[in-house]
Amino acid sequence: MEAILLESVLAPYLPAFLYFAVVAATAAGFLIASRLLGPRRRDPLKLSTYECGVPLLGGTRDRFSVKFYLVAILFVLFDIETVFLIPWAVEFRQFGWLGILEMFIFLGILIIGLVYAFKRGALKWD
Amino acid sequence: MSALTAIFSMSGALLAAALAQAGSGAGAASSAAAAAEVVPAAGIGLVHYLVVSAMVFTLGIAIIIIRRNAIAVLMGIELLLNSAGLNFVAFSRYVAKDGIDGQVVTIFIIVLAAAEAALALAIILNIYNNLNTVDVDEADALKG
Amino acid sequence: MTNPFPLEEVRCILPVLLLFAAATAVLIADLFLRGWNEPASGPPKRLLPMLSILGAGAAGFFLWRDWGSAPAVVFHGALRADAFAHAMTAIILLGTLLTLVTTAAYLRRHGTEHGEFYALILYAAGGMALFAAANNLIVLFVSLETFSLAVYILAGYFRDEKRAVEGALKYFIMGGLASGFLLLGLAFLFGASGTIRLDDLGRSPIDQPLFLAGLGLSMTGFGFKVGVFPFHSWIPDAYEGAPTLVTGFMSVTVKTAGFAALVRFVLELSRQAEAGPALAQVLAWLSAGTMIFGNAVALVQGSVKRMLAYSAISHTGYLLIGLVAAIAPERGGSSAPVVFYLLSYTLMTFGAFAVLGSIGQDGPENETFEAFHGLSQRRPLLAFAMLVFMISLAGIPPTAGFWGKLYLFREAVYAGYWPLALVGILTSIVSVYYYLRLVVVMYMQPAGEGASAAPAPGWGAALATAAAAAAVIAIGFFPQTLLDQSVASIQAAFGAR
Repeated sequence: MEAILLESVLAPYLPAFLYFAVVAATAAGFLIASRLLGPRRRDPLKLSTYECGVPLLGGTRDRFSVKFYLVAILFVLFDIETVFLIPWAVEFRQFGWLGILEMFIFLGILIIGLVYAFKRGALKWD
Repeated sequence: MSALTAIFSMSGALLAAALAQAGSGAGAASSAAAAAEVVPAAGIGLVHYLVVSAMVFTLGIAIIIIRRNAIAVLMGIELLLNSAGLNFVAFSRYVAKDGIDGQVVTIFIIVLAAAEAALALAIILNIYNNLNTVDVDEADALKG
Repeated sequence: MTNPFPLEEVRCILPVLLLFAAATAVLIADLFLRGWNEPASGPPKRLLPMLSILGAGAAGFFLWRDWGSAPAVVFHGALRADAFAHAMTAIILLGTLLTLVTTAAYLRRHGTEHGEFYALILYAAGGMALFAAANNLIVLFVSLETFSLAVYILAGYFRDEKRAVEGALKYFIMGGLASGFLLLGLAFLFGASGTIRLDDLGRSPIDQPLFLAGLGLSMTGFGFKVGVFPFHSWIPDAYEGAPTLVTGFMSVTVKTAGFAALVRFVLELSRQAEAGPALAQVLAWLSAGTMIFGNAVALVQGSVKRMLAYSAISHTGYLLIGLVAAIAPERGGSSAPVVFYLLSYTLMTFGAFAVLGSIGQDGPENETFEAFHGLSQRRPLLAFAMLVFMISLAGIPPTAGFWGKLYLFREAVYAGYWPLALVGILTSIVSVYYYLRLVVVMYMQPAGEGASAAPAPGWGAALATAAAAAAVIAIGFFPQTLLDQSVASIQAAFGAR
């Protein structure tokens, strides 16, 4: 009884479980293989943090300027507004000229926000 | 401790609401065809979404109550909004089948959650400038 | 397919659009008139309060032009332009105008006059007006967040003051929690009925357990917003921390907007046979608890600002009586007294905060009862205005507050909720003690040694305070016209109730 229940409920997930198993096995396989096969030479340069090839400036745990918050806040706000553009873009043929006008009004309001941020100096770094 | 009890009882209540939904089909508003799809052949149905949403909501409440870091509290609030958004999408798919109203609500929730986060970061920054900490327990000057 | 953009319906939201436009205009004008660090006074800055008052006045004009028009559901069911929405918008505009007129001198005295202040007040007012007319869940939530976010910023407007930012943080956390509860509740209501329109929610077939869960969660959210007893914890702190005049703005307009949406929400949803009686029962208990708690704690406050905050909580309890009476299962009363009471409440509460903001700089030392000692000698007119507001808040005739309470209690008795009316009367008697304590202090105690000679309030504050006091007394002598208007607005919007 229980086995049947288990089978009927979990059967659809079998591919997913298999997938997880294969992923785990592959990852582990790569790690083990490189540990076994790869040569090991340690020198200071190799042990340092990799930063896209640019010489290191400092540790990764530095506190960074609070100005980043301002940039991040502005980014989040203007970035997320595109969420409204996507459904509009799918259907904009149906809406006609009025639809285009409405979206430009919306973008115009966003631009007012940008002008405000710009004039207030939120985009200035120093 | 009582806070934890409250959290558990609330998550229980939310799960009960989700399961009640499962028991009564897809809601009186939908047809028999929709009821059949509450737990469709693929195994994932409305109830699964409701359970996940209930868990997310409960986690959000737990974070707001337990964590002292203002940023973590903000994350808890975002979780609450996201759980509601998940519910809206799920109900939109399984209950109100002819419309996309629920999905539109979710789009607005996403945007407002971002606005709320931006504002909260500004308030937390002010807290830091004044108190030199973002621990919400340190902000205790107002009493009575 | 119907026209996706019904331009002719824009007329119905013209007041809201004007408020938003005025807010944006103030923001931009402020940018181009001065830099960030320029001194607070100077000719161009006088323009900003003028511009914002003009915007709010224009919104009021278009509201008046639409007054009494037939109720209409516009923008594909997103909004209801009916007499109730008009009445609530009018009260919100009244609170906004009082705030705008009062604040210019107040901000200048504190050296923090920025254009953003006026813009935020106007954005908040626009969001509230939209909230009062919302007929679908999207508009309900978006407008709620619009005015909430603006008010969070205003609460922390004095950003160098510890208690201001602390109040703002607490307000934000509890407000976010409230939004979460409300939103999850709305999601369940949507799931139970398959519609996001409020008027359909009350009429379509529903899934009962889910509907009740949604109702409970969304009532919790509303309870946080308007400050019902177990969900009130943010009110005293946010009210104390915020600049005094912002506290006045918050306490009158946020409460008005919250009750506008709450009344619409409750009256529409209680059409469901299963929801009405349960809702009436729960709201009755919440109302009694709020009245008892608010008044009991207000008794022991040493700060006038905090006393007014707890008094604001207790008035939420009185307002809930009207809502209970309207959805009472056997013999429904009317929620018209809620409209009447909100108007009186706006006048007397904002007036009280305006006086509090006029007697000295913001700070705990100028908010104690001692700061009011001998105010009748130092500033006889301010003291008299405060006397009027206090006796009105206590519900003593002949003032607007007296009639407001009388109508609410009468409606409760009519609907069969006489115990609620009894609690209301008893707690009102208790409240006389702490309201009149302030009056006694103003008129019977000599001014202390260190008492500052209260600064001149500025013509705007004087005008607003005098107008509010005069209106409180005028309504006290001639309440009937306004009551008729309230009844008419409720009837035109919701039928009999």
